[in-house]
Amino acid sequence: MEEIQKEVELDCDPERAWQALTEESELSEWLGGEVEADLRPGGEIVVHEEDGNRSGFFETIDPGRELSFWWSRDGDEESTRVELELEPSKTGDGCLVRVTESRPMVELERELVEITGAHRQGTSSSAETGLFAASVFSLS
Amino acid sequence: MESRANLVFGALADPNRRAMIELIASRGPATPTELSADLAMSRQGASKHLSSLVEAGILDSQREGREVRYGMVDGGLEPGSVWMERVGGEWDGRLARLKLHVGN
Repeated sequence: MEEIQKEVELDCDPERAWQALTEESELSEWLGGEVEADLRPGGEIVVHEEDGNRSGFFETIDPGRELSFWWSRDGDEESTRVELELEPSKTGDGCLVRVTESRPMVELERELVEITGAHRQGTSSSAETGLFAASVFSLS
Repeated sequence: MESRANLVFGALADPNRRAMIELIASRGPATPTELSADLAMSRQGASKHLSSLVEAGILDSQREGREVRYGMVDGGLEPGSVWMERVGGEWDGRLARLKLHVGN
């Protein structure tokens, strides 16, 4: 699986951190632009960035612990999955936020090519795979 | 994730392999014979490099008659190493802002 993972230690308690990860006004302070977030599975998330929007939908929300969403930049055919995990710090009063962003569509595309034997050319079949991936993951 | 990243960085560490990726990314899928001619290396050497790029998930292969043609795995998608660098950098920025934000 292609993914990146990053962590940050925060000085605040987990309750405060969860607010920062979920409330629109808080997300707008750090995610990269003004944020609209309909915090429920299937709910929309939009980040109004300087050079365009980034938008998608929430997949899972486990209050106080973790949430996940899918998003893509305007014009990108690929959606990626973001998971934000929150846990109390082992060392002190603070907490730890771990983010994992992954590219499930790349894997899916590989599998589809293997299954169908299709030799993918250009971007049209990527877009089709994207639609397929979006439907699979939003239904699961 | 660790091993996948290591495979990618290992594969990209070699200048011959980087040259192969650049050729394939700009011109499209190529055979070991074509690549060995373009990069002035033996066909055997080219095949060996191509195998490690396949193993790292950067290239994939398609049989075409008696030859095998190697192309970028991601096609219309961003190549893995480029994606990891860009997205990793984006999150570095976001998490630094988050830390500052809750620190207030």
